[in-house]
Amino acid sequence: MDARVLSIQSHVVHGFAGNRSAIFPLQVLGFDVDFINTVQFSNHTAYPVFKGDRLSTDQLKELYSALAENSIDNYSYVLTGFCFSADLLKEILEIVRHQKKKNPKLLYFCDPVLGDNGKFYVPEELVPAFKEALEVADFLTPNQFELQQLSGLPVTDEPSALAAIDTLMRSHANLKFVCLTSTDFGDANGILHGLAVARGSGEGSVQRLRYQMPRLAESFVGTGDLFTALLLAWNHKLPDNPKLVLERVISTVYTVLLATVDYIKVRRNCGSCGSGGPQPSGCQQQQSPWAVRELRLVQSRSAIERPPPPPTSWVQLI
Amino acid sequence: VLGFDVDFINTVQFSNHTAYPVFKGDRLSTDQLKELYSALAENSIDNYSYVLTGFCFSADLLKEILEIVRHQKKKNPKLLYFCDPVLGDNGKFYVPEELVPAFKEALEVADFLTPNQFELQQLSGLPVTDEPSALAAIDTLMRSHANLKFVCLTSTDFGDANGILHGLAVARGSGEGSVQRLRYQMPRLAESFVGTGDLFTALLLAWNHKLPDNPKLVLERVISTVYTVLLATVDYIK
Repeated sequence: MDARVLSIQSHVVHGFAGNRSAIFPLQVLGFDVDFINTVQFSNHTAYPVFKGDRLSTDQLKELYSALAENSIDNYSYVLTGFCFSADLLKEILEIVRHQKKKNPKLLYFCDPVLGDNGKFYVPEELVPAFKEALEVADFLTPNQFELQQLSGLPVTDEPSALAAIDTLMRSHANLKFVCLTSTDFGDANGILHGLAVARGSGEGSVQRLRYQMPRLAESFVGTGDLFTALLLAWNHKLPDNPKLVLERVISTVYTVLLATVDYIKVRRNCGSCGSGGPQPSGCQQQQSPWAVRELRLVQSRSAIERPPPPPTSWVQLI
Repeated sequence: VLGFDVDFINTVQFSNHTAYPVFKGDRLSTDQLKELYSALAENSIDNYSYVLTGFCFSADLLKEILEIVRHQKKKNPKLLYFCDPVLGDNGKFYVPEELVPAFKEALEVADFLTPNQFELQQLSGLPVTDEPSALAAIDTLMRSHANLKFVCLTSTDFGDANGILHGLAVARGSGEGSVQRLRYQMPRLAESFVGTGDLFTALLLAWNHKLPDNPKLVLERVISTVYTVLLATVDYIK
């Protein structure tokens, strides 16, 4: 496969977030991925401690210009997620524009990371910056909070969500696929309820899809990054088939989460550690709450490569 | 791909390797490396069975890395340190010469070592011109460093005249003083590549983990993988 991806995201030494969630699955699925690490942190920021450094906008410019000078800046896709500042995102958008001039068929997969559950976890200056990103994005993967922020409309149920997505797609002809990755619509029933709208080839035609999968009790970091990377991969392999694409993506994410939940159970019931006494010297894993919840990506590599078909009820055209 | 959970600290972020006409990017300082590692320790997520290192741009960096290895070995005495002592090739250095004494210090804590012919000469202080002298140089290193369990002389010019890549390995056995000595030979491909040594050492780690105490099988897997990757690369070039 000749598909080359440029992914510009964070690197964590331990655990899975940003590039660490995106790169391995893409490689397993056969993609050549060049990646620029916008930060190198010891671990993600929900841990008690995190240390590390960020890339400056100049450093990002410099890395990219060297790729261009060596004529090794030939990509079919750009993939981005969490950005720590508006300046960084603006520099990234310059890169996307440059790439699209070189290759008009390039697709920009943009995860507009702003926050979740009603709260920001980035500076609010990212809101106008991501609105600027809408001008060049092809695929967008906001969650409920992010869709509200970007559309300026309330998103409280399926009709309002579809209206908000339609508003974005009507004002941005470049947006080919908007996936509302997670909402609270199904929370009362333990269901993770998402939506997607894919522009069809015919003028004005769209496909609308709903997906539902069991919501697992634990909370995880890195699943959004995994989701968007998988969406890129499966859309490449199965173009113009959003239902199949979403089935593959959802099935993979769910399988990885199940493997992670299983691992959490095993670690919590480990005879050596569960007693609460001192760790025996042979114990390779401590019980750090975030450590134990890191996605089991490497262990799920077979499922990433060949996701089991999900129950038919999980993804529906609506 | 072989199923290992790998945490990695990037010591530099460059646009591309340094043989290209242009390369840009930045290096990690020793303090930054210290800081990253100490945060892992503070979060109790510094639990490893292996440490793997290769090219180091300065002796200071390598010395900080060796501190990390020593700390890891205190935590986990069974940890294995796979050390590729990158100094140069074909008779020439491609790192500052201060790395020579620094890698000699690394010999004190390394378990697996993957020097090429030039590097074996530098580290042993002995000439390495043919198989007997190579084995003598490896034996010298292993006799003075009981921790060294496996030394693999990854590439030599011994078979060049016949288009063969000729390597050697000496693996300490479980019995007192017992070693296994192995030779490998594979067709030498016309192109030259970057990154094969790094690939080799990583594969050696993987296959030795899966097939402990079986150096012949391990080397077969490693050599076969490297050769297949190189063939695919040569094909792509064509």
